Amino acid sequence: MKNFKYNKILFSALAISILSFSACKDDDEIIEPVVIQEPTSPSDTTVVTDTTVVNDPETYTATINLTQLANNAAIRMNTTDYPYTNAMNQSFNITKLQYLISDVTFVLNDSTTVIDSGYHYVDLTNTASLTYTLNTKIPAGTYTSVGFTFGFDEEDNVSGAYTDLNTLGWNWPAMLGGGYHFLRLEGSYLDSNNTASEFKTHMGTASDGSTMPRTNEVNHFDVVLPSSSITVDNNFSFDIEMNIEEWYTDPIDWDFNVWNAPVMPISAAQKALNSNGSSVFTFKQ
Amino acid sequence: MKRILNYTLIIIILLASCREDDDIVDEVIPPNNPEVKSDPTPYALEIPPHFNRINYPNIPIDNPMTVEGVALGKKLFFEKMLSKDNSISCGSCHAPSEAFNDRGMVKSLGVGGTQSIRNAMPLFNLAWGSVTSRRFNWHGSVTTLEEQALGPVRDPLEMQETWINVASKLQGTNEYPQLFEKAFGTNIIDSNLVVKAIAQFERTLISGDSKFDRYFLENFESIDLPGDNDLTAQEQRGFNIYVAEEKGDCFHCHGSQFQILWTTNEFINNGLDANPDSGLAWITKNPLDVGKFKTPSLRNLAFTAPYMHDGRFATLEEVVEFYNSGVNANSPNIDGRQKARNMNAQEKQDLIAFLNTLNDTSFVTNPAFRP
Repeated sequence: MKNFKYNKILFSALAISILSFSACKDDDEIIEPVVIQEPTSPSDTTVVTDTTVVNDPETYTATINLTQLANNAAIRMNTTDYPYTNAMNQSFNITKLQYLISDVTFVLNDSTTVIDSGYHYVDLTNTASLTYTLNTKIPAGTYTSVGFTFGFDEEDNVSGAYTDLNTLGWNWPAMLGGGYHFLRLEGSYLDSNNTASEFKTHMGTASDGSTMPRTNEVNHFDVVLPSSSITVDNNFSFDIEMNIEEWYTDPIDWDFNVWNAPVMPISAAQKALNSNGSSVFTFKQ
Repeated sequence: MKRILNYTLIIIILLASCREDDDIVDEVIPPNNPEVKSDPTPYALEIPPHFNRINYPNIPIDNPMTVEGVALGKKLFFEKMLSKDNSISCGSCHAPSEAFNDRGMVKSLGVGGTQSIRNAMPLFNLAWGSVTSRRFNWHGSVTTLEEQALGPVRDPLEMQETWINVASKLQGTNEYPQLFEKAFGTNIIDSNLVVKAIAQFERTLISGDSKFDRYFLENFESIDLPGDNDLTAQEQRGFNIYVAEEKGDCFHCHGSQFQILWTTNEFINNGLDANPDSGLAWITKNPLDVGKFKTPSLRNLAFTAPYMHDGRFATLEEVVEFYNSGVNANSPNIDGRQKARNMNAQEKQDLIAFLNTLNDTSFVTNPAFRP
């Protein structure tokens, strides 16, 4: 995946006033060159270098809690009733929820972002998967926003490239563009006859079967979590909340009677999930 | 952090075992076996290169594979002394020529002809069996191969023997104490060591040389192989049906070409019955697991009829027609993926043609797996 992206501007900005042994000087404007002195005995000093010392800022561990809400509360799976309602007033329940996020991003300012290029698979039946500790240590600072990629971007969505996802059978068929699933959200809804019927909201590459051969379009989306300013001065954690009903509205109201299953080969359904996805996630710390 | 796939052909499992009671063992070496010294040779598991597309198999650290352990395990697998009247072995119901399935038997017969309640599972690629589900057997009753091997010996419908008797019978032979000494550093035989040896042998049962494997190696791993390894037009159509959600939709449970086991090992209810067997719920006591069974691999289907946990379908045609039109939608906990497939006759034939590319003849004829 992408190499660790870190803009050196951050370091130089923070480093300006961190010159050791120069703090005693009142007349900063005459520092030329900066002299770094290192005591060799309590009463003696020796000039050892004339280069500027740049101290990296401290870095901290980021832990993300993946939470999933429906009707403004933690979702309940495998209910015998139909506790949730979509924008078209159709009742549904949930039996499976699995999804993939990648490239978690911290925006410091216009020129500096920190990106962890890893990915994380969430399965609600696996409690351990609800916590994601980033490999990348995040430098101290006040970040204006936090974001991530839902699914894999074009660069990362490489068929067969990830052994753990292959083991799970998370692959997206080659004839639909290949790569991996981004989302599996399954359950039952009450159809127009008030009869329970299955839905399987699977998301990945958008593939249009009206052309020959099929036309495949990348379908990941980048999320900038609203109101996600965060100050990093210690190991820290925050929640990425998935609000289930939002998959099915804003801007496109999703009709389970039309799009229940299969939806993988339906380009319009895939793109609707992409459009609706931008309002699915919220930030909480 | 792009994961670089490592196509190492042979992965050496290093031996990391030691026993603390070697001095005790020395005292009880039989007189006819004075020179036996335990220094087992690490067993090099030959893993096909494309198997590195999935997670590495789980080898328990307390049962490292050794040449001597595997050889002993094979001998024990075909040892009829494991049964009450010395009439059947593991191999009696798990025949190498049938991908270690029971020669077409719907339900296997134990000592005295007692009938088992489920179809004997074929045995291959078991080293990976716990990578996802961490459970073995149709109803997920055990979590390791070692634990699995304990069951049939004492099952009243299978071998009907006690482990104390098995250990005693084996101990009384001339050859077994020596073989255990070589494999495990002790000639005192117990159930723990018997199942460890059998599990070591079972982990060598790797099936990865079907027509589709060769096609995959050439087309996805850029490994040139002799001969024509392309799929026929019909097999390719069948594969497309297999991965089409609106047609076969097989891949969501059985995986596609990168899930080289051809199963996710998930436990699901595929909708066989309105009032199903308790399945996994027998173990978990969770009503949401009623009717759920382990998803079997689609490899070697030509050798493993009949199909399903109770062997109810005699042919692949029956299996495909069940998924096409016979799923019982009212079955409790039925998997959401089970719906009418709407495949026509040609599509069903194409799908079966593809499934038959997963048969591995070299596996069922491998002399290393014969007694």
